[in-house]
Amino acid sequence: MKGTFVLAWLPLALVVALTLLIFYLSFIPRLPTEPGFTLDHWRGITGGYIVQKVIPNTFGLGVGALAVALFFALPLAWLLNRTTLPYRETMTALVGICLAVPSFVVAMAWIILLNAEAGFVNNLFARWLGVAMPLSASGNLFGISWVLGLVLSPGVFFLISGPIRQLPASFEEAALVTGATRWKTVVRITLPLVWPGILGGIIYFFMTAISIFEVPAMLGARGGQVPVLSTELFFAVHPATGLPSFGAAGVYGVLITGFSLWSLYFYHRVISSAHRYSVISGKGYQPRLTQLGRWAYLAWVFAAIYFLFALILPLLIMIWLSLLPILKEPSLSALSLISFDNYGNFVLLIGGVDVIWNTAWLVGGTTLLVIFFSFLISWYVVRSHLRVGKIMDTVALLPHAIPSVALAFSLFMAGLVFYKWIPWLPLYGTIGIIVIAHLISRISYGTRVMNAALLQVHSELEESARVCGAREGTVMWKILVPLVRPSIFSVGILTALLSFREVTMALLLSGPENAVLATRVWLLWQGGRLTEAAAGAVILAIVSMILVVALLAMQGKRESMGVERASAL
Amino acid sequence: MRTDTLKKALALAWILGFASMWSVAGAAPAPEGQKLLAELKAQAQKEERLVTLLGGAEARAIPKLVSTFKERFGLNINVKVDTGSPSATHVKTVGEMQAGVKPSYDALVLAPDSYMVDLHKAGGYAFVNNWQPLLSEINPLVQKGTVKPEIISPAPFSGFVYIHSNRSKTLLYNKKLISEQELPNTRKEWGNQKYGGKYAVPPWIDSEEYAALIYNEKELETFLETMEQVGKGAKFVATFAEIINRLLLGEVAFMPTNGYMYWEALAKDPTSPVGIKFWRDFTSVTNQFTGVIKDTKSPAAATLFVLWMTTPEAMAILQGANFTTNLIFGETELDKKERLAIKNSGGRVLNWFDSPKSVERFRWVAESKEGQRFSDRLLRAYTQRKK
Repeated sequence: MKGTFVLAWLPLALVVALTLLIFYLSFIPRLPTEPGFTLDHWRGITGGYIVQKVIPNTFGLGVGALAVALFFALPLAWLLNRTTLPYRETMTALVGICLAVPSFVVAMAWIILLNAEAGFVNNLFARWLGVAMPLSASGNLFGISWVLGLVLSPGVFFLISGPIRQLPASFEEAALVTGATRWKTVVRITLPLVWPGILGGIIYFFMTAISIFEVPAMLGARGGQVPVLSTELFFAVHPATGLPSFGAAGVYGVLITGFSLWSLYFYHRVISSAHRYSVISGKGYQPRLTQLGRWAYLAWVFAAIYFLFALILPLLIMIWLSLLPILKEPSLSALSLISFDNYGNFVLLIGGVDVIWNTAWLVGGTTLLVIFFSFLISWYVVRSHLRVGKIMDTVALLPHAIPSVALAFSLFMAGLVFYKWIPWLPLYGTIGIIVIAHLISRISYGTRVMNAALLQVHSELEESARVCGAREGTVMWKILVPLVRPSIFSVGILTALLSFREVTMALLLSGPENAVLATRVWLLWQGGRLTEAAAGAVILAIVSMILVVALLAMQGKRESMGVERASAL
Repeated sequence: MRTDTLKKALALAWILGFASMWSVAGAAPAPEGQKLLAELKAQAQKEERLVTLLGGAEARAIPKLVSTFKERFGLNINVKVDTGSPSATHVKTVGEMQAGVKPSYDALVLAPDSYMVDLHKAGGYAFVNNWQPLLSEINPLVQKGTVKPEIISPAPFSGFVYIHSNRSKTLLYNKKLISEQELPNTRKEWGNQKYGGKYAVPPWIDSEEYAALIYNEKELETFLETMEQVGKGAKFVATFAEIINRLLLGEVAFMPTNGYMYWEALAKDPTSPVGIKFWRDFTSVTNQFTGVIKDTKSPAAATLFVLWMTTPEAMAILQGANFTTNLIFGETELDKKERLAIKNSGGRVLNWFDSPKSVERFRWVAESKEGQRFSDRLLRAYTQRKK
């Protein structure tokens, strides 16, 4: 078992090393391959630009995006989980499909849709209602928060759906019987009871919001209108002019990690006090659904508006653009330009078949490695009664606090150093380095799911197998794996989806031999080839949707299996 | 480009540039071009592969470019043409040079001039031995004597980098929003408040830095004041690629950009409302340089590719996809058309490398404290980015 223990520590050791490297990079003059120590990079942040502009923007974006996400996700979570709204299962699936649309695709669409002078939506308002709508998605904090909020809303929805669904109706009914109004019941009973779940979700998605790079980068960071920490880090490494400043990137990495760790501290405080809000007991738990009556129409309108903004409009605009040779507003005259040329030349435009192969390797490799290592680490965390299990669990959670852009930057530098010292190691410039980046960034999620799954399996089963002479490997493969198979599939499909659509890490780590699909679509857009990028965006969205449908089907199967198991018992 | 260490780089470039000129002039009679080329081809075949980079704009032309290149030299090698980001590749290659590792690319085609200088500063380009006879053997324009090798590979970078094409800096406008007559003719007019909010500018200044070629220091002060007004009047700062789409949608009336964007927009949609106007004060012409990367795994294949990229054959293939012209020695219809349009505008055509005097001024901008200060102030004025 020594071998598997060492193996389980492999990704965890990498997590620790990369975290330390981010700090180290902020104190060296240039590259880790060169000697020297400097505080210059840190002195740079005391300037007005970082303190007065970048940090407030980062914080503002986190708060603004969360406000937008909660505005949609909170009512939707209640409507789709606690009411009798017709077609709520279908709508839940639609929220899942919203999750499938890559964030930069939503950003691309909103740049075209909402623009004070030339946005398609603004023009529509001006033409039909004669009203000038001075709203833009790009170049201002509100616009970026709006788009990022839409991007985060499906995740927030699924995160808070759990606590909302599990809240027994008896508490609300008791309040209503004692004369409380519906509104008062919601404010005084429902919300306080689901508060840890919501607060945990808020903190979790605040960390996500401040680390996302592609949305603020597309909507206004390059020109300096709305710089945030994640974009400053990226542009320090990839400046518009001049040479990269790796030290400054290290400082941004430390700052953004600091922000996340600070949030993680509050997250843990909330989670640790969650037992005080336990509402499900062995007796009498029965969630009841609220009859909406005439209010159902209003609920429908609300849901329709959400799906229009988060899914339908972005997809429609991308499909429209993908059929054109050049950016044009929908019109009869533009119909004559429609063709499938961008799809026909897609493989050529993204850089050849190699890019598709690389993407397949990335998705497949990451998925298998995340499953393998998550299972292995969780096994030690759950089954080992040693202190080391707790340490492993804490380290496995660490990547969640390190934004992917900082992680990728650290890995890029590590790759460069290894390439110099061990040139034969197939890491730098290969698809392997991107797979490692994804493995590290997904290990937190993988171990959370596996911890929960393994906790449900009583150790008696393994002990019986051991008594019968089975080796540890056989116990894992023949006993544990079949029992936690649904969780393995869930981790696998979600990992595949996130790896398939991820841009930031691959962008920092890619070269001529390891380009992947999502980064190529992003680069097409950045290079002004909007219609060609739109074709790529549509393809990305369709494949992602297929993965989400598979995930939802798996979830459904898992729940029905649970029901079957319960009935059997 | 405007860092202190650039001084050392340019000094080194000068030394190496002159040293190479001396070595060509002072060496024993150069071996026959044909023999050199044959040796290079044999070596390239042994190397078996070549990795290079072109932008996404050229993607459609890559299959033809690769097959023609291989056919031209009778090579049966694997040619990988990446279509990644030139700016990211530039940074990556500079980082590789600084770290002292093997480069990811064998040859690069990079623009603007500052990328080439940065990479040269990092020691990123390999000097091609016997580049003149080889160029003469590969490029028919040099062979016929129409173009001198020094025009294609100008000092102080002779032998290291080669001009593949150029980008003329011009004004594009949306005909639905503004007429050609209403557009500014000169930078001075551009600073007029009446244009405020009607245009966007990029986050770089490589086209405006050329003012240093024609203005003295006192005049440059006035120019900076004008640029301050220009920066204040800009609606937003974004890359050319981003602005052009917003111009076509009608968000801004005009933009300073590269001439090729006009030809590309028209080729994609002949009814596009885009128009082009060249400045009457000066039209800066930046270069797209190609060069062999130092310590590459495939130096011979890279040399063949780099020198071949200067030929009318290669330029014509790529021009069909990226519409980039060669205003210095290009011979295509598009080259001639753009050259004529610039001539008709009456503005001076400026290039950092067209004469020793220009190179001297380039060194002032890049090396001297005054020049560096000028560039910093220009960037701040132009982009108004308070950093």
